[in-house]
Amino acid sequence: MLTVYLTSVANSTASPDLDDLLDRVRQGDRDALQRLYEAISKEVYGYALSVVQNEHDAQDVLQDSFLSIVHGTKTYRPQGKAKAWIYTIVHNRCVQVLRTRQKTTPLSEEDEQGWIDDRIPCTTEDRLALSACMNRLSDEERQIVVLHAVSGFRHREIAQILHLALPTVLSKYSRALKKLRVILEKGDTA
Amino acid sequence: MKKRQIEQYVQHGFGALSVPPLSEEVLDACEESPPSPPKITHFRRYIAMSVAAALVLTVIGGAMISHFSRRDTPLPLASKTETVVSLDVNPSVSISMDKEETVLEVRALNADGEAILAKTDWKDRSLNDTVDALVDSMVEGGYLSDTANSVLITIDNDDDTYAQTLQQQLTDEVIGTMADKQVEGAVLSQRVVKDDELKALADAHGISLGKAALVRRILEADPLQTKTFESLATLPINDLHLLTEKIALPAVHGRGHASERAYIGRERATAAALAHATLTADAVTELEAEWDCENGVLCYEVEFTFESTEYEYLVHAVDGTILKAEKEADDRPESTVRPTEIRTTAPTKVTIPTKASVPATTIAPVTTVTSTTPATSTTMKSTTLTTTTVVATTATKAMPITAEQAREIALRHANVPDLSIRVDIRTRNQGGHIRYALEFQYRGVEYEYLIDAANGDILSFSSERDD
Repeated sequence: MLTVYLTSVANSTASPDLDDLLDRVRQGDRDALQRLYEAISKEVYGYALSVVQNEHDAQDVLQDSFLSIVHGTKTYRPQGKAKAWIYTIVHNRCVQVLRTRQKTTPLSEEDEQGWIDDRIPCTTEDRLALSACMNRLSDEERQIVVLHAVSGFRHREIAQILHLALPTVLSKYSRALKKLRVILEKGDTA
Repeated sequence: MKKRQIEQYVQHGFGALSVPPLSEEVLDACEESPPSPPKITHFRRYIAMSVAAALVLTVIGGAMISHFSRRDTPLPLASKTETVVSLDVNPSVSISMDKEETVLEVRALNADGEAILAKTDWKDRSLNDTVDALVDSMVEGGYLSDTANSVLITIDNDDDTYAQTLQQQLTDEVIGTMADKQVEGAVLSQRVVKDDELKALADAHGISLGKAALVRRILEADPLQTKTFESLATLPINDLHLLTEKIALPAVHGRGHASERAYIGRERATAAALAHATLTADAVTELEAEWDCENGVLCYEVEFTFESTEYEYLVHAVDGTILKAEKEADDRPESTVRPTEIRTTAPTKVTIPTKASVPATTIAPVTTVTSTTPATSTTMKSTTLTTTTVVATTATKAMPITAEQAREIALRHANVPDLSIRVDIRTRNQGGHIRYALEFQYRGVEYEYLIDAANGDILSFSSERDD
């Protein structure tokens, strides 16, 4: 079941031609916008959550980003980098949220419980990995892990989105995976 | 636990997140044609900020509306407003004036602008005094300093002559205020004429109209379209100022020089590119280094020619990472590759520095060795310079191992019969010893090798099944 689910996630994010959808959105096609949202909203939301670490702010970022995407299509030039373009918008929105927020509210386990969609099968390890990412990694480590493991970006692309040097991304990713390995093998986040 | 397994847990954990549906407001915006300025939703924050703004109004009884969630909307040109002046650094603020240049309102256009306004008393001040106070706060707040000294002044007024006079007047004011603070300032100034496209660009990228206008002008002056709006929109004004150094922007006036102190400098960038190409400054011709931008990252474009082959590099302005490398030989088709995919398409003459480490600003004496490596395809990754010196190749052996040879050593050691598979190769300098770090996958197994570039010894290797 796990393999089937992961395959479906991968297909749902990789299949649509994002440039084509963006072009149709530019022409005012609501269905295309809905398809675009269905294709990438989950991973975009995951990334926003990993940055702002607050469910409500992440929802704001998601909706605001899609509004910016809608308006940005008027000037967007298809170059086969639609996803990177979208994530740049999302990243900028996240940065704006962090700038306006005076302090970060610590996460609680109750918060995380509410994030999970009960209709989606999710193992103990999956929840543990999510929780460990949110609570035990540094901000940059968390963002890099999500952009690579969830959004499917290559490390070079992540370096460009986060404005980091490639070796920095590589070393932080490696360090983050080591942390996650320890946590997952021990079976707790404490 | 395997790396891939950890990644799958993360992927699945985040894949189970509950995501809200797309709002009707966004869907409706899609159908608007032609595009109108977006109504930024900001949902919960909108409500919170509205309440905060109402409290401010109640307390001070003034007309200032520091409503960050509405910063993307057009400036509220009240009936008395004749001119709007905006200042961009990273903080962005706008000043509305009437015909007599009485300041009617000062607004923050982004979060940093809010922070500046909170510290700046502008009421009952003239335009010059208001600009002084704002620039003073920006210096005090660390937004303007010796490492980032550029201010963008944008004038929104129908009278071009008046706008130009104001540009000059305020440029003097900004430079003077910064000089009082012992900071050598630099200013870009322009007049902006709003249009729907400009508003859409500013809205989509969450930047001021002035910055959007500057970015658009830089793009218009780039006939080869090597840059994109989104890549420039994220840069601070100081970086944009640096990029305009070699660009003729008739509608933008510049004064002073943007600070380069936060960056490694042309000499180190040049040294990094030459080291990557295993060449020296003495061996190449037509050596140039200019500012450029690659995907929102400020970098140096370094170009040089060696024996009829033109090299072009993009070097990260902060840490010296090679972001992009191209080389084009005469009578050969152009090869454009990322640093992860540099291909050697012909026998290469390699120059080997004889010193293990040389200062970045000097070039080591060289001996020249001609490699007879046959034409092959070599994949290499970027080299990073993280210290103040450029570490050059150590020539302790008669013939160092090339990346291609290291690749073959690793593939043969791993018993991979297909020598054409993709291999990521990075060069590492470990205490003056150059090593090749190689990674590749074959039939579900991930391999990692570390090979000594001096003699081809396999220093370490690992293999892990990617299940």
